[in-house]
Amino acid sequence: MSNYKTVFFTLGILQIILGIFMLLPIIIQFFYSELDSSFFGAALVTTIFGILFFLSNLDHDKKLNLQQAFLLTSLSWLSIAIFGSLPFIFSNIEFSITNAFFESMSGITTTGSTIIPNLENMPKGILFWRAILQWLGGIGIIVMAITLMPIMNVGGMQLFKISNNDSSEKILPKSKEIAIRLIYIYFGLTALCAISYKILGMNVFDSMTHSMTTIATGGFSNYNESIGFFDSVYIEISAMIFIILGSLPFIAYIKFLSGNRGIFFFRYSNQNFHKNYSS
Amino acid sequence: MVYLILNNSSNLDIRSIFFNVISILTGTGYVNAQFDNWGGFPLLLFLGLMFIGGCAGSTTCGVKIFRIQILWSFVGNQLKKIIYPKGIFVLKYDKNPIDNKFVSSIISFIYMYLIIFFIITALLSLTGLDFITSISGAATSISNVGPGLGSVIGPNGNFSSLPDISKWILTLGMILGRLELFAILVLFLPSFWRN
Repeated sequence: MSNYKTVFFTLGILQIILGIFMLLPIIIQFFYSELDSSFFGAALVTTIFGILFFLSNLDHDKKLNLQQAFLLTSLSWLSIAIFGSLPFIFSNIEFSITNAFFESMSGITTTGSTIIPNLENMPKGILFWRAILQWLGGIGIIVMAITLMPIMNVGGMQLFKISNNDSSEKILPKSKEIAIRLIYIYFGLTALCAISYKILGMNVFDSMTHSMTTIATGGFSNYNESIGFFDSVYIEISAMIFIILGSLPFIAYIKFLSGNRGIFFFRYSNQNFHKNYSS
Repeated sequence: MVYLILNNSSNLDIRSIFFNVISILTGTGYVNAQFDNWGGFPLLLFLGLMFIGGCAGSTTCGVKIFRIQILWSFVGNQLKKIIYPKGIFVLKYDKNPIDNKFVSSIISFIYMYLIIFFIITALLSLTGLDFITSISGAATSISNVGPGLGSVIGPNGNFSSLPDISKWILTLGMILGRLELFAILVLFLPSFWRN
């Protein structure tokens, strides 16, 4: 009766997405002429694992019960951290497995602790991959906090249920629409942040990576002195603004953008929803 | 923050105070100054700030503001009950009454948060780290902040010199903190796996 096919099916999808994102640093490597096989190899391994998980669980029943939601949450972070460490391991900078996994976990949990002593000498591809990990970790936690966490009754997160009659069987279809909107907003904020950094004096590469880690409130930087490297009041002010934007509940942005016209999923909501944006 | 501005003893500018406080509070971990050289009280303040975090449903980590708000009003109600033992006080959050089961899960969350924080601190110091490194390392990993305090993992330091076993403990702290503790802890309950 309890089968975990949906859990592993979703994990497979996540790994395929991760594998696709691993191809992005190759573009950066191409521009800075430091091409090597590390990201391609890691992408290949991750995608193959993802496809195997995906295909072997095609006959899943599209439902998650409470137990499986917990399993999915933990396994997805763990598996992304494991596969996310592959580019570090495959690179030619001699990361030990511990270091690679630490860096990857620090990225995907948007922590921002680093084991790299000399960030300035790192290849741009690796720096870009760290930023991508944090960016994915940021959107991952938002989507999870809004879709899965309230159902899991974790530490009072039930207060943030979007609809009152959420039974765990019907998590997936409705949350898909919300998730897509969240991703748009997240992407838009990141782009705005990158543009403002670029205008205020960062180069294109720094503005891209820093904007990703700012919105994710992650904190990976390309320099040992972090934002202090730029020594610019304006960059710091815009970083503060975007950090605060990243630390507001994202559901409030959806509410704000769709106005009060009773747009699709808000009709499910009751006043429970209004608790969301005062916190 | 007010304290830091008023007690401007070591030529700190308001800019770096604001920046570092916001960055640490929200668990970002960008820094633009060596804030652990600012003295004893700021050090403690930053350690406290690491726990707070941002709002629920955002990219931030830590205990989260809504839990702290609810805990405060809960404590306030308890105090009122001492004065008026027969009074009925409804706990409200954003004008809506809160059920007791939310309050109990929030309190147990904060309790577990502190317990796990101390366990991680203890484990880290067992691996041979000094006190400030282990306590700030535990705080920074469970709250997903980034830099710790002290000379080793401080704002401009990094974690590369730590022993491997400490790194694994920190990694565990990160995933526990990120997934709101209980999402991981529940997997270790035998009854979770029973049907």
